[in-house]
Amino acid sequence: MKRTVQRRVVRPKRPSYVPFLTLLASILVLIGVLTVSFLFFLFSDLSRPSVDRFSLEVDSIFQKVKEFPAVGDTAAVAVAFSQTSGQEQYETEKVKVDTLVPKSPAASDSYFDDAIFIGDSISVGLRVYGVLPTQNVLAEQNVNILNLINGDAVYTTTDGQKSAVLPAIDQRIKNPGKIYILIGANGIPGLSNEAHIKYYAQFIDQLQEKYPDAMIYAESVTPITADSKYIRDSFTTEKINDFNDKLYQMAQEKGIYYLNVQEVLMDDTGHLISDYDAGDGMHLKSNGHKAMYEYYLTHTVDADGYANKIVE
Amino acid sequence: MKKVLAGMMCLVLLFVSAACSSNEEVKDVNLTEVMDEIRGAIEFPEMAEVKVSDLAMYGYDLTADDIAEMQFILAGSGFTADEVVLIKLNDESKAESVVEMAKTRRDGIAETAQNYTPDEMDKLDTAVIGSKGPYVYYAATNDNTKAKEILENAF
Repeated sequence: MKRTVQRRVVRPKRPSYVPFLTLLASILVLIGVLTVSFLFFLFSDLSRPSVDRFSLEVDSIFQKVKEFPAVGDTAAVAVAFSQTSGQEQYETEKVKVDTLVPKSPAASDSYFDDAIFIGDSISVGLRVYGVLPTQNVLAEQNVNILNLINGDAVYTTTDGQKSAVLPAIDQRIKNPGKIYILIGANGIPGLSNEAHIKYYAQFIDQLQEKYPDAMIYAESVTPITADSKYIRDSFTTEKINDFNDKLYQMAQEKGIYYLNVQEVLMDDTGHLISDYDAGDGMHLKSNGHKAMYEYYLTHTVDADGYANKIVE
Repeated sequence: MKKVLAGMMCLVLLFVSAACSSNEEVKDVNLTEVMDEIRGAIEFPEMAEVKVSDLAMYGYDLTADDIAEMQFILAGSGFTADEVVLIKLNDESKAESVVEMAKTRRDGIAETAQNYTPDEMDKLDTAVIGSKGPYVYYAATNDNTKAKEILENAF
């Protein structure tokens, strides 16, 4: 009998792909989830409001602008937007400036390259403390409006000659683009405000005739302290304020700008901030002059007569 | 003979004393230190410095070429007469004319102050003005006696 021997064939076991496929599927699912999440995050971050929502925002800004017309100005709203300057964020609107110069983003120092500042002892510090270049400041003690309209030789030219105001301007800045005037403190005690403003208007006429293209800024007379050594019946805070009111009216009539620089030097009681007082209750220390300069920088009008007014 | 010898000795003494005094004229003074001493000894309001390029505006008809060294401070507020000027000239012979410029400026300030700030007249009436060699000085301060003492010691 033939004996058959059965051999048991042991086949090699097929490898199982299940764990591998499971792992692969898991990885793919994970990649998919991550991709979807990333795309969701990306599009949600860059999303913009819908057209309807954007329109609504613009309308509300324009509505806000309408609530803040410039005093004495024809508010011509062209655009409103937000700007960021350092930590300060503000909205501006472009307005046509007729008289009162509104607060605007700070101009660069070069705005004053073609400017002449005409003044009395209050303005001397602008030059002496180096707040503005010597070339741009005509200021001497005791100058009043009559000296200016009469052509008295009250200003010193850079070559040491005494000169009337108009030739002195020419000697400093030929054909100035901007003329700033801060005059009044020496005339207020001896003149009625009505007469004083009449003379002031004559000086404006002289300037406009000689420099028809110049932008003229008439500045409010600066405040005094409650106990200023110059106070007397004919020189009080009330008379200064009345003069400034009349100066503003005259500026409107003459079509020049009115720069209310007084507000940056005044405390809550309407008097000169004591920290700016040089000691007599009227003249300024260097910090007062620097505050004035900051005010000039942030109250400018463009050559086209518009300003980027800050909406507050 | 004795008279001739005595005369010669006198001449020698004269020359020696002249030489000694001329040595004093060339005394080199640090103007910054003098100004610091004045500012430390006398009370001033807030002062500002004047540049050589602006000298003409303050009545000094001088250019940078005329000035070897300068210290010039004045009250910047525009209502007090406080002012100290120390100038070392390149040309000593101009000193007297610069002293006249300082006097003229003082008189101009006084003319305004009489009506405008009469309290300042005392500073101007007793202002210290002088020169020594190439140096010219002017001081109108709250304590002109002290200023004079410092300036005369310095020069």
